[in-house]
Amino acid sequence: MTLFFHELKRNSLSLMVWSGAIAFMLAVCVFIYPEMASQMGELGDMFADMGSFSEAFGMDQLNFGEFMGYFAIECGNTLGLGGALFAAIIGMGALAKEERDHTAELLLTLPVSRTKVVAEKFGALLVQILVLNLVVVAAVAVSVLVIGEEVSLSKMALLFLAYVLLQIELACITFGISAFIKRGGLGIGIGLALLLYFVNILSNLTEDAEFLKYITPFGYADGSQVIANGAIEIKYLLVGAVFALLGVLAAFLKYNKKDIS
Amino acid sequence: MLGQIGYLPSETAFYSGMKVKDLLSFAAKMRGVDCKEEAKVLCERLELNPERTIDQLSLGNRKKVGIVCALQHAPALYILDEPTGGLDPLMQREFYKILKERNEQGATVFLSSHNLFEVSRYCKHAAVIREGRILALDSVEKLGHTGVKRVSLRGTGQAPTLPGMRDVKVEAEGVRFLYDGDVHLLLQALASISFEDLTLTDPELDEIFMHYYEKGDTLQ
Repeated sequence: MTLFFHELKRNSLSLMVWSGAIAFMLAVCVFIYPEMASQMGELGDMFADMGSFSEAFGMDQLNFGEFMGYFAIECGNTLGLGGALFAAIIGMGALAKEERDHTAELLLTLPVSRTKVVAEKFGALLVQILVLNLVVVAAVAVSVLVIGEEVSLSKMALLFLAYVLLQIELACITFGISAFIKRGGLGIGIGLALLLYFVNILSNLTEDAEFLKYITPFGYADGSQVIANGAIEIKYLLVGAVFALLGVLAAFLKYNKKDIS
Repeated sequence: MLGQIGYLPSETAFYSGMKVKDLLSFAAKMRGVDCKEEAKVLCERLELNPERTIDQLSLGNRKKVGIVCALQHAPALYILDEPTGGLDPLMQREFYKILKERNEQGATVFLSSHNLFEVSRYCKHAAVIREGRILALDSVEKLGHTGVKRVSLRGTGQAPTLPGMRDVKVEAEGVRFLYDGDVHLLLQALASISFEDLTLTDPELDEIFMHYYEKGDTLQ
């Protein structure tokens, strides 16, 4: 477990900054809601009627004038994208960073098996994602209580669950990729997260592109869908789980044979 | 296996932002051993401050961190790659003193070095490696006694002509060459020329090293 705690410690600053930033932005979103709601009136209909712009962000499915609808969309953009970027960055860094910084030479000459290295690093990834989401949930819970808005707890829980799953899937995939590369993982990680985000927006825009939802985890972790239907799309989630498993499997298999320089 | 090995890479890289003592305890914990005492003693002997952050350390001090890392768990086998790069002579001496103690306690030490003086002074056996192939492997003493003599003659501008002479250098103050052959023949040849002074020595290890490398060239 030494490496596991070592990883957590080394990443603690970046984890704090990311969770703090996302939690802060979501709390601000929640706090400005009463102000917006009082001014909005019919504005909600307008947001829902902006054609493809509304479709792209799923605003046609929800009442933007209601707190849940408003939150689902804000949350989708903030926690969805921010969490995805964080997950991709730490997933990418976990294995490749050791080689980029030449610390692999130190780590792998210690009496630990590569399997154990991968397992402990992976465990640390999952814990970091959970911590980030716990901080965010806590911040949202406090700010919702402060403004005194009624929320559906089950839908909120489902929404956050969807984003945790999204982040875990992305972390698994980037973790798998990071076993194959030696450096430059950061760009690939951020690029992949953004690409998948925009793929989902694209698939929201046109019926023809709906199959794209199978490839992107944003397909099932779509705030508007989750709140409107009260459920996570299982078919998209299953495909995502397969991607995640492949990523982790690839990491273990590849890293055990990798020629580390 | 790895648990019994102490390895020192030639270029040591550490996790950024870590203190010396944190890194040492991380390495010890990864090995599942408690060697705080030994680490402390080694740090003191090598004059390394365990409270410093590794990033702030100079090359030599960083090397010391690597050394303590490789030595603290008292392994049975040491593999050291260029261990003394960046160390000042005083530290080098202390370092070899520690290695010698470890060796006397039964540990085996392998080290690679470009500093052949170091090798001839501290090692028992040496191998010359060129492009991944071992060209020579013997005790340092025997490597030094190849039968080849370094001959220096002062006060003459003329070298004797003998089979087995190599690396002949005619300089203003005298003649220097390596001689690989019968010493009697050499003495007879020397008797026929006039010179002021004569020294006959075993060649230094680096001359032997060069010798093997030149041989390698002709092989190719």
